[in-house]
Amino acid sequence: MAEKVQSKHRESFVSGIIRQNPLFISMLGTCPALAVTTSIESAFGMGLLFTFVLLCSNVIISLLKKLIPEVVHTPCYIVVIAAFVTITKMFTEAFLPELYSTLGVFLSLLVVNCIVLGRAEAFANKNTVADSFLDAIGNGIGYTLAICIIAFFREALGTGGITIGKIFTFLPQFTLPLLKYPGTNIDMSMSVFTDSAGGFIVMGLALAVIMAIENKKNTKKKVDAKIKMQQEMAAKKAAAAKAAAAKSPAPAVATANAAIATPVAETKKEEK
Amino acid sequence: MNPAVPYIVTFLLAIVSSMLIDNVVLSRFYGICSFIGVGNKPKAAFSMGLAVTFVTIMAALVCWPIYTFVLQPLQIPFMDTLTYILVIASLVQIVGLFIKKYSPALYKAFGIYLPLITTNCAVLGVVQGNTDSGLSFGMSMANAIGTAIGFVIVIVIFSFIRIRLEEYKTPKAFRGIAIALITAALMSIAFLGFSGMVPSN
Amino acid sequence: MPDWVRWLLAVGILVVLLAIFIISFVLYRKTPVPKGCEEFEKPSEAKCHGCNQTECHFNLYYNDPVEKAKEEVQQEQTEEQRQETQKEEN
Repeated sequence: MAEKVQSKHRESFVSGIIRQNPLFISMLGTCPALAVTTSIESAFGMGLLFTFVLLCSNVIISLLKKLIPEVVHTPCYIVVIAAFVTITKMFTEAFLPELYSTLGVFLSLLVVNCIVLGRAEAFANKNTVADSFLDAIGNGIGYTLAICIIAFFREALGTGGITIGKIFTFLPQFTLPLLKYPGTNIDMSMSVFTDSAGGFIVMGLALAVIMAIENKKNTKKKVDAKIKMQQEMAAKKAAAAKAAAAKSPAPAVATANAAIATPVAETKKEEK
Repeated sequence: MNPAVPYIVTFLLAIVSSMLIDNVVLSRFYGICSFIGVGNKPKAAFSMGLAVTFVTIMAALVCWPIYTFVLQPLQIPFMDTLTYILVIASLVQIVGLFIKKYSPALYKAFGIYLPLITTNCAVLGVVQGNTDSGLSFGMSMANAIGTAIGFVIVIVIFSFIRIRLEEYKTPKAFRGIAIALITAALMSIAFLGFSGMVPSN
Repeated sequence: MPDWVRWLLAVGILVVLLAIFIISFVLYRKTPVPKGCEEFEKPSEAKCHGCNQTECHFNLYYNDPVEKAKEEVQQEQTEEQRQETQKEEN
């Protein structure tokens, strides 16, 4: 019993990071992912604030799940999430004003972020507080990773280097030159990537990579499932043929054997 | 505001500016979820656009006065996000109620998309952006109207493009969403051509 | 205006808006769909296209390998049956 609970905890934490990544696999929350990823610092800040909002809302909704009647659960979730977003906005405006002015409206748009509402309705509604907590942290880490990857490519290709210290001003200002070396004439940066078009391009290419990996996994699963099903059907046919052969002469068995041999050979060819 | 230019011209220029130059989907990145989701059906795309237009214009009409005449005088401006989302959600339900009861034709046209508009970033983004930037009432309404028309234009054009895209043999990994996003990137670059149209003053 | 009055007004506005939302929400759920439109209410492609969940059955990009395998096996089965019936006819 204890192992089941522990494995459920691990499952809800790990699945949000890679296997069911909210941005790349479930395709949710794409609006901030394209808009705030012009620099890796703002993407990281957005991911942090997103994780905070998701965590608080998941825990509170999981605590209140028995008190809210079924009919009115959507309005209540919206109010809870909006309350936490307002609190986050006020904290950010006070302690990280550069991040607040960079993110702009997208901090308020966390209220209608599909991931936060989706996790509340699909997971926090039915699971314990501990599971909801771990699920929120897992999804937050997954989303932050996803938008940081997009922001890394957009910033590196668009401005030529990674700059830190502009938004999180307590860090020393430092530019890591990758494509643009300030002392020399080398400048291979392409400014289209920090424009709006670049967001679409990088996101499309990232999704193509993810789709390629998924397709490979899916073909393997498909071929395995097919072989299994054909073997089951062949076994049923053999049993039926045996029952028929017990009453009738031998040729029926020979045709049944030939019919079994062909589908299995075909799937083996497809697998290669 | 330039005193030599009549107000109606400024209003129309503001509509054009938020419709084409700062397009809501391609430049401000607001309605991406529904933009990708509608796919290759122009009729569904137009219905979705119609629903977004309705809700955006009504929400902007109601939310700006609430902020200026209720929240600001009472010195509780931090309640804006909460108020806006509740107003938008209630408007969606009330409009849906009226359409269900009194107009089956409109319900067939866009009624089923109405509940999905509550979580559309475009509506809340426009309304919150209006008060965050401190625009006047006329400019807020121009922003909302321009956003709505821009959304409809882009989503309908995109659905027609996707019908064509399905006829070609794209590489397997790009099929579906990835090639749609790259096409949207090209559309975004095309819309950059509008950027010099309205002189910003 | 003293602080506690502001907070009280904020909570009051919140409660009023929430009440309006909940009432309209419940009324919307309870009104029946107009007569010609019942077919739109069932889960269909038109409804799910606006949403983005790729695990939803009606999403354009739904991709389940086990189901596709089942479909292919069933197709092969029907073809075999057709070939058998043709052989019997000949």
